[in-house]
Amino acid sequence: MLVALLFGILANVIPFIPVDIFSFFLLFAGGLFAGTLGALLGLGGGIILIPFLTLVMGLPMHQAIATSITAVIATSTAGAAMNIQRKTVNIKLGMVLETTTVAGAIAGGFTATLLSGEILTRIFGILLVVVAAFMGWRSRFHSSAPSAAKGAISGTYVDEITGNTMEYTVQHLPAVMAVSLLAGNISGLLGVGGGIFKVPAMNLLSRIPLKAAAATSNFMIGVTAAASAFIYFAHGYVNPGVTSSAILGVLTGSFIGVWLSSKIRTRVLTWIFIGVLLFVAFQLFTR
Amino acid sequence: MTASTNTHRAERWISRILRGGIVVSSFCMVTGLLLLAFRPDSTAASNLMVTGLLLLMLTPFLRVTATVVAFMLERDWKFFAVALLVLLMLIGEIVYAFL
Repeated sequence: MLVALLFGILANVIPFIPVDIFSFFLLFAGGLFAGTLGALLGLGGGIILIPFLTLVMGLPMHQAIATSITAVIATSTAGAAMNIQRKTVNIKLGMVLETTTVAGAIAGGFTATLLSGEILTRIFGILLVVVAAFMGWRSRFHSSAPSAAKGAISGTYVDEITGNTMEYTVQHLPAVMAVSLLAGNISGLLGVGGGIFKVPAMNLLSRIPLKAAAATSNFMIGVTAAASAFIYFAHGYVNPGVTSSAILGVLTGSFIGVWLSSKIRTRVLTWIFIGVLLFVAFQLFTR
Repeated sequence: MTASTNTHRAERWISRILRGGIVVSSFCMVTGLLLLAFRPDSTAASNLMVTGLLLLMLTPFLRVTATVVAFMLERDWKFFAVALLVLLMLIGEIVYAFL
């Protein structure tokens, strides 16, 4: 019934622009590229998809963000379905952090509807530079080991590669909740997942093993993204044809990326990507 | 029933919801796009794609709802309250966005 109700409202909200076959393939290819590279580099893919949609496809910034945030739900959902079975997701921790990411995402989503596409593009350019710096730092960062100190929430999982049972307790919960608020806000405002900020925070501040941190972050991202996706939907920024094409590409790409990541070394790729990010940021600023 | 088997059941359910959401919504989007390729002015194509996108957007809500129910069954009231807060924020925001 809820679906029927929403559907009735949405049918009036969404402008339907048909997608020709050529655009479909282009959008699918762009999504495929973003999904594959995103999974290889440990990013959601939104950071690649948005520049593609604006610079290559010529989509207005708000529509690009709306498309990306919906694609982020898809990749998170597909990843979380697998991670829950592997027991790497800490649902309790995810829910606690979700209280701040969702609040941040809602604020970010509403803020985005008030800002012009031009301003959002500039802010997105800044985000690209920040992410490039983060990736450079991450490539040489050593993940911290679990702490034995008593924490607010505990977790345990079996590492598939080593076969060891990993036990951990969550340290400095308020600090990670604050980072999550910021990550949620960026997610809602710019249509990206925000995992690149949450995962290092969970690992370094809370001393959560990297696998559990990444899985929990991925689990949260779908919920965070859904929070702002409805705001973009309600404002008519989601074009069904464009979004469907891109999502199918991103989903397929993320499976390819996961499969490829066990076969190729991503170190050189990371540095090439940092260069590309800075170049794209420059393009966005000088547009 | 112990708390741990309840947790496992909840995890299985959440995993199923996620998988089902992805499969059904992708199916709707693929069918919609195929229909669009053959009949460019079809409203059915658009409706199918919108349904797919909506189902995809609703999966996270089901995921949070399942978590709320799971914590309730476990009588873990602290986390029940946390999950409920997240769910209420999401519902409140949707209602506000569309009104």
